[in-house]
Amino acid sequence: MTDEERAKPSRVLTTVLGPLVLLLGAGGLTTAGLGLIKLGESAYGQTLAERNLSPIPLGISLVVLGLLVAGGGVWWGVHKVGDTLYDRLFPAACCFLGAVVALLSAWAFSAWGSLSLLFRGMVLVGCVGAVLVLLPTILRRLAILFLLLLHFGGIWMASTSAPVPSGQPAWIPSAMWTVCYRPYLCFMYLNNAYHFYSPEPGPANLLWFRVEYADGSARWLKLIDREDCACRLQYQRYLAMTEMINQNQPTNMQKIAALADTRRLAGEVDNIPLYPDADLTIQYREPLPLAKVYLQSYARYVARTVKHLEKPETPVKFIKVYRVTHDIIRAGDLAYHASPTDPALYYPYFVGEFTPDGQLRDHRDNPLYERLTQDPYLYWMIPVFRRPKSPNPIGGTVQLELVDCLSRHAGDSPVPEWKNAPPTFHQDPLPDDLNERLGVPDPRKQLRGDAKDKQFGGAGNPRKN
Amino acid sequence: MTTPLTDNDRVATAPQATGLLWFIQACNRFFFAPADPLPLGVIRICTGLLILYIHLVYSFDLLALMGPQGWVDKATIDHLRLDTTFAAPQADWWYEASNEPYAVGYQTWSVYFHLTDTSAIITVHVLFLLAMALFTAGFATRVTSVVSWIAMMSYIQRAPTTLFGMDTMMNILMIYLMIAPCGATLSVDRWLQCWWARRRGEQMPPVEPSVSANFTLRLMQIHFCFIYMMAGWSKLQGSAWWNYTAMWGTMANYEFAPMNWGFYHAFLVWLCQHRILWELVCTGGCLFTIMLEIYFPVLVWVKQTRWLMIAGAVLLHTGIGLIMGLATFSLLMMTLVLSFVPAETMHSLVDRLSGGLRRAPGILYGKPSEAEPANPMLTAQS
Repeated sequence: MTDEERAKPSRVLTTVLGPLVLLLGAGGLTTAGLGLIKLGESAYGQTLAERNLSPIPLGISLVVLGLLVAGGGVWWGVHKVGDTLYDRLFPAACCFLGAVVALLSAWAFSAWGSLSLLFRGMVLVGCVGAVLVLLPTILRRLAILFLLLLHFGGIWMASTSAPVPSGQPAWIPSAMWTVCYRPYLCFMYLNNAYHFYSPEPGPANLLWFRVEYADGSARWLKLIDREDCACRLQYQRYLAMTEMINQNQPTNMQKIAALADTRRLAGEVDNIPLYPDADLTIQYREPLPLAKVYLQSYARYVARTVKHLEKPETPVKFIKVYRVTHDIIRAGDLAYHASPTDPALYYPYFVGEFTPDGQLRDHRDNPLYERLTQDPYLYWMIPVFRRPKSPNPIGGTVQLELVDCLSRHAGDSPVPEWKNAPPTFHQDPLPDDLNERLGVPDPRKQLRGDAKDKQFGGAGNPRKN
Repeated sequence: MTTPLTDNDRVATAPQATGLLWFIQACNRFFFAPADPLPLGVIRICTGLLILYIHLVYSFDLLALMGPQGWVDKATIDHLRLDTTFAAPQADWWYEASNEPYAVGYQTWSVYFHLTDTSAIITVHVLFLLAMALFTAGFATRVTSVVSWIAMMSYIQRAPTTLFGMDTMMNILMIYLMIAPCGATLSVDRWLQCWWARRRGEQMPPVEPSVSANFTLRLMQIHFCFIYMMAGWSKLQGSAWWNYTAMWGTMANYEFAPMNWGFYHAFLVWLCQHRILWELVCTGGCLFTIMLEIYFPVLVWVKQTRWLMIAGAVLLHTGIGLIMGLATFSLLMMTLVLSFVPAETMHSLVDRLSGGLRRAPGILYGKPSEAEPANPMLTAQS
């Protein structure tokens, strides 16, 4: 008997029996786990849970252990796939048994829908793997190339179904994405279009929260300052979080023009003008519904976690949120030592005042806005800019002063250093009778709807309606 | 007695064909010729170290990002993944509003969707980090690679607002490493294999070239080329890439660039004060980026220009890492670029790096005896 022949039984032991034992053991563990989880989910299990004897944690542990053991069994069984059908049968059976274990796990986690989805995905992989292993080499390679085409086809569709600047995405990729590839690409997180820094690199967006407490005090939370982060990656994560809010709806000029009227009137009352010389479509940016949902969640988080500095038990009353675009400094300005953090490089958009439970505050709390359909400043840019101190400068250097409407809108300044900037114009509120004296219709009356020339089509007070 | 020919042998010895047959043979060689798994071992270690670091950083904000009361709370994430609707593709020129959505919900999954207990979240986080550490070391790599991918996806899907390009690249690498024999070399698995062989008095098994190694390296290469191609093409839509000012948008973006560093700020001021130099830098940067991204997918396959393309990609990502602060993203991209580096180059590199380890009892190579080749794992050539 040669050494090779003597070694045969031990080889059979390691290549066949080993994986089989592992896979059957995994099946047993998973079945036991499944039983315990189902018991825990039954009425009797609920009774046990009340006595802190729930079998579910043990069941979950057994299922997870079973999956790990099954993974080991499949790995062991499949690592050598022979050329003959006989040599391929056992590896295929291992794949199939692995799929069975995944199926049991999917059943066990049926109450946890997303994990059940993961395990169903594993079942599919196991079954496809078993078929691939069974196929002769030529057919297997063809099948693999077909799967490869499907895979990269999906990535192509994800890439080309992304919106293009000022246009619709291509029809076929969009349709293919929706109908064919969506489940696969979402499951595998392969939806990125790889359009990095295109069409062009833009400025970063920040989120500034002004948390107002029940005692009338307030504090700011700014997402995100480098100094607040332990490392650069943490900072990048938060930057991505603020960038997520910068997804805006397409511009509807008619809607913006209508909203601009009330914005102007409210601005006249509060001394918060529109941004000078900027297009209205740039000044009004309504976020997409998805971004609004995220904003609500952010507001709830801030309400829960940003405590009053002196009296932490003081409840939060409202949270004003601003999306602040930090523009990139122009090279010409930097050449003359302008600061990249100059206040005028910040473009805040008011994205809502929220209650602690994440709902937009009812704008009709302000009697002036009772007839309006939304807060007149909502989604509008609140300008922070510099302008000549003297309206008619005669030669020489024009001295610029900072017009910080953000502090005016929020109630206080988000950046204490801005307070040291030169005084802004019209610090005092407008006198009540100023417009009458000047013969200009009073914007307060127009907002209330008292004026004879109804600006709002006689819609009346929506609260009264 | 003659050894039966394998399919690879048949393919290798087939006569030169033309036309369709040539194409099929070329595809077969391209995807299915056995290759040395060493590059995959190196890629596994780089990826493993990076994912370990990336997920370790989650520890700072674990509950804020993964907890049920986090920035994106449970109610919000459940609403988004379960209730988001998708409209059917418009099959006509006229829009017809339909009340019935074509599909509802995303096919996303995450362990953290279902964990609400703080201690459970922390426990799972620690276990996931452990799995990633084992994957990096190459222990039970076939299993720990899948567990690490599941772990990584659990973070990605639970905190969708914190994602950026880095997560995409990390995912791509992990998907391909799951199907690759990345634990065949430079791993604890390999060490155990050698140890087991020695214990049984057998010769240390060589690291065999494998079809799956070549196949997964090809997948990585194709995917990388696709990423560059789309990134390059999409940049052509932007005016800033045509008037060569886009580079300034990346260099002077206060929130990304290290403008809070005195010397960097001073450099930018100096550059701006020299207009012609500023224009040269911006123009050169834009042209380099666009040309590289568009031509890399073609020229990297040409032997004469491959190293130029690889060096260009490394240079580009070093710049992105340093100037835009996206260090982890850049390192992951460079890890993907490693798939283009020939195995022979890796051999000499690993030989040089592991010289000290081989003299000491080396954990990477087992403990080769005097009679055996000093470095059996490195004898396999593609």
